[in-house]
Amino acid sequence: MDFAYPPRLAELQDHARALADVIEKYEDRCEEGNGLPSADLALIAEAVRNAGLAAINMPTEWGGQGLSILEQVVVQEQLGRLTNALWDTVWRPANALRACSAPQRTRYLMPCIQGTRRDCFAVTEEGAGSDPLSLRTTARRRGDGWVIDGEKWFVTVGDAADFLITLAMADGQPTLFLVDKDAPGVRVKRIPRYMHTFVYEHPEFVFEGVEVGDDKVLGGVGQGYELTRDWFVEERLMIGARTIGAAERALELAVEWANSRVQFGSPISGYQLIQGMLADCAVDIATNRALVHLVAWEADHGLDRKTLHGKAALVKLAASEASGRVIDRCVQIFGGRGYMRDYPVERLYRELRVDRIWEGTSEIQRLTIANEIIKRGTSGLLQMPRV
Amino acid sequence: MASLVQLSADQLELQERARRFVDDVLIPHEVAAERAGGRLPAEVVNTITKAAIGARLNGGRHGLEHGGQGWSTLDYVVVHEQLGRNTNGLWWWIPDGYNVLSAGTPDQIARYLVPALRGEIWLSYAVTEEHAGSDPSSIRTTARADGDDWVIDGEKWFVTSGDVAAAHIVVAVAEGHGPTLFIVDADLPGVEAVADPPFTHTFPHGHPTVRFTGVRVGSSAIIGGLGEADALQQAWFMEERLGIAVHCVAAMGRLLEEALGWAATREQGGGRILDHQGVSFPLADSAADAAAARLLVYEVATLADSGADRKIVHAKASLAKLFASEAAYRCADRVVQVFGGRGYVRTYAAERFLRELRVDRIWEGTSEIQRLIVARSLERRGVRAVIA
Repeated sequence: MDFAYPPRLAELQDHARALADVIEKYEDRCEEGNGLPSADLALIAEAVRNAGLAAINMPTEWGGQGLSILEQVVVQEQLGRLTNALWDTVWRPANALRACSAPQRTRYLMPCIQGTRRDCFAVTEEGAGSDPLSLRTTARRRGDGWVIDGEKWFVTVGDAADFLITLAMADGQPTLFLVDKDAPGVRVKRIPRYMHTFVYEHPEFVFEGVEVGDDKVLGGVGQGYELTRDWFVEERLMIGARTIGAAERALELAVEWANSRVQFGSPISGYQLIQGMLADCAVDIATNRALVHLVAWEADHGLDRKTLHGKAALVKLAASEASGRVIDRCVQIFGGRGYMRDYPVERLYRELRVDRIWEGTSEIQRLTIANEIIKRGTSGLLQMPRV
Repeated sequence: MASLVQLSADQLELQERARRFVDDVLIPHEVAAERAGGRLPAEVVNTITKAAIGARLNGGRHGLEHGGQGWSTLDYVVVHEQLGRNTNGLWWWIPDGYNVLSAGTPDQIARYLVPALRGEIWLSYAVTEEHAGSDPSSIRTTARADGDDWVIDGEKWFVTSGDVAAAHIVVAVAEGHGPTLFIVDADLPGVEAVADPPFTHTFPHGHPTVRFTGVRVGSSAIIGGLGEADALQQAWFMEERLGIAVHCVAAMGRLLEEALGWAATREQGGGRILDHQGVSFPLADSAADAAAARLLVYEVATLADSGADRKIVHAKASLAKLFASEAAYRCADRVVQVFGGRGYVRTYAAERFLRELRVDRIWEGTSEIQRLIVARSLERRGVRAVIA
């Protein structure tokens, strides 16, 4: 058993950290401006390309980096250090786009890999959150094509995207469609404000009689849930990685502060209440980092889909809750400063809260995990992999 | 109905008056306040302050002779159990004045307290510094005697309302006398706001950093005598902590109402989410938190009015602040979770409460400082005195 990073992983980690350090310089401006001007985004895009970290999850033959899940975890952990969700400027097209046909690939996937176009995923609806089966967006058959009607909520990157991977019921069958944002009948209904200050928006979209051809169906009629689920699995692992990176940065800052802040005549790191918080943070980070790495490794080594689904839920639940605890303690250690938006811990605090909600709330992850162990026993989720 | 919390007919009337004010005057402005970054337009603020004066909610703890309402601690808790139900700190628009001003000279009362209670001016309290947060003995702001005058130098952080205040109540170490309160007009030469940083919550006023450079004031600016700051502030801290605790109790009540309203109507997977234990049990825990915190707060208020040992009241106010602020934050966290994605959207009260309640575990003494006070009082005052 060898837990050491081989040189390739160590190098990847260094590259990702160097890129994160470059992008970190844009944090304050993003917080002040609720986003970044296009000139800054262009500079970041150039840095992403130079770092060789564009589309890390896509195969090399299409221009991606072809990283394994474990390698992606190593990269995402470093990018997770960034506040204002600037990790999302390092584009990673939705894995559902692997199901593109050859013409779709040319038109949609390749430009997304190159970073000249941007995708977004439109799944959630007003009445369909934790329960995707409540889906009301429909695609009706008309002639050779489809007519889409419905409304989608929380469409992350919807403002910057060029097209929406849209989940709709196509004559009763869950199906993904590639819908151009400028197609007639597509409009933004609202752009709500959220707790965090995200580099992009999460608008609500309305689809009214949007006509698309069969060539816009992604991966076949009826494949919508399957493809969405694959995306959730990958995303849950990456949330695990990013939240741990965020928590580690917060702890670094908290330790630095606790060592330098003097109250009652000594550095506050000398007080047991502070020490207890620091220690608990280190435990949360170390245990979850190991877990994320383990499951990513298993995903690369042929773990079956069902077990992987359960394990991704386990990782997402554990890491997002642990990081939520870590950041709460770090805000507390910073005192009044922890409540100021120009301190990274304050921003990470607001940002990490959503990781317990999106891509399945903690409650939904618990149901997934419980369902797995009730139906199939504990060994699938708990036993160590064997050669 | 027999209850441990016994309110008189007058107090019930006061409670109802405060409840109507919050429901009719404050809550309707929450979303607009959030969108405006906290700062409502002047005409709206004017409406709120007028309505607050009309409802006789201004200057509650101050004497009738100064334009206040002469409330007891219990009255104050009764009212603030309503005021804490709104988000965005909208209750802050109700004209009031810091209680240390009661110790002011007739001239200070006429110039500062009376207009503040009428809603004509705002005042701020400048105590915290860059290096003096939890430890107020590290305060470096000084007042140097120069003839009959005092010259103040220093920088204060987190000066709530410092951006709009006509005068700041400043804690400075007066040469030869120790910590002293000065009331300093904001337009004096040498007074400047050097930063107005944004915070997690969206509040009516800013909490700027205010610098005092060679600010010259007369001895008429001293509140309550030289070296009296610590003694004067004891009562202020007690009341502030109790105020935070009761606001937290109020927030828990509203959060539970909001959560129940949502969970009883939201259907996922073919049923109401309230019928899932994963949703309903956290609400049960929140109800237990709210009910326990409420009793604690009322007990401390009653004790304060009974003339009990101030040190014990002080310790119990810390206990109440610690428990209620931690409990309210747990509740907000659970309720955000019940609302799911909507719990992260600023137009929902749950989102705003989560951000706003976070600071109640920090300001007026962090939870860690409250634990220190409680732990010390266990030994000095005895276990029974602290918990019974």
